[in-house]
Amino acid sequence: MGGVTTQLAALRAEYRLTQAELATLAGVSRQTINSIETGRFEPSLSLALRLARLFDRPVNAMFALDETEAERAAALTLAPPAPRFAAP
Amino acid sequence: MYEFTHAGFWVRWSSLDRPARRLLIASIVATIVGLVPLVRWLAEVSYRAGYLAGSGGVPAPGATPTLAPWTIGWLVAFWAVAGVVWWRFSQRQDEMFNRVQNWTLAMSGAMTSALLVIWSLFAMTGAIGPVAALPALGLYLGLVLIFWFVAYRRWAA
Repeated sequence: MGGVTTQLAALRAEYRLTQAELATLAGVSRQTINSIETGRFEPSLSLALRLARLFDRPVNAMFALDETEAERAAALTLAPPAPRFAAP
Repeated sequence: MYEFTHAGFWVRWSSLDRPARRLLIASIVATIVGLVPLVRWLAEVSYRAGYLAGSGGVPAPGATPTLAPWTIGWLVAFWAVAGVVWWRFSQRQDEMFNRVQNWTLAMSGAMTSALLVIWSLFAMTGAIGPVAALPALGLYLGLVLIFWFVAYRRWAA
């Protein structure tokens, strides 16, 4: 997967679901679940949100940037916005 | 929902629901029916290509076969139906199937365009002949197969 790691396999094992069962619940093919778990396929945001909702977890508990991408993103983190108007 | 088999070139029949099976069959039937009037022409062209290759460059005797315009109208009509039905089939599949398909179509279209532009530019110099329809179509279809396999290996294998 392009710079993203996933906990999907661990979560699925925790819930004792097979790939086919999870695929049916998520409305995708078993091969898609397998490819996400093995890191070959990066799901769309809507599928990631759907999977997160199934496991009742936040998306970033299931998918995260890998080390390289996380460092790059940290370097680009925006500072909090300044207040638009000065307080009276 | 589909499951790829045969290196991505077929799907496990039992993995498809009834509407998806109907759509897939309809698309394949429309594709084949569209080709029916071209079978004799394709056979003649293949024979002449084989003769040319086997004889060391001597063309087969007789006139080069031509296609009646109605056969192309027939082909376009049935392949348009096949395309629409295939699109409806792919809409019933998930995002990985559609990513494989969309990437394949984008890559093969872009690569064919690039190669045709290069071919046309060389043809302008007289180094090679003008762009020919049949090799161009064959090139596109060949690239679709190659890129589909690449996409399958990349995401789904």
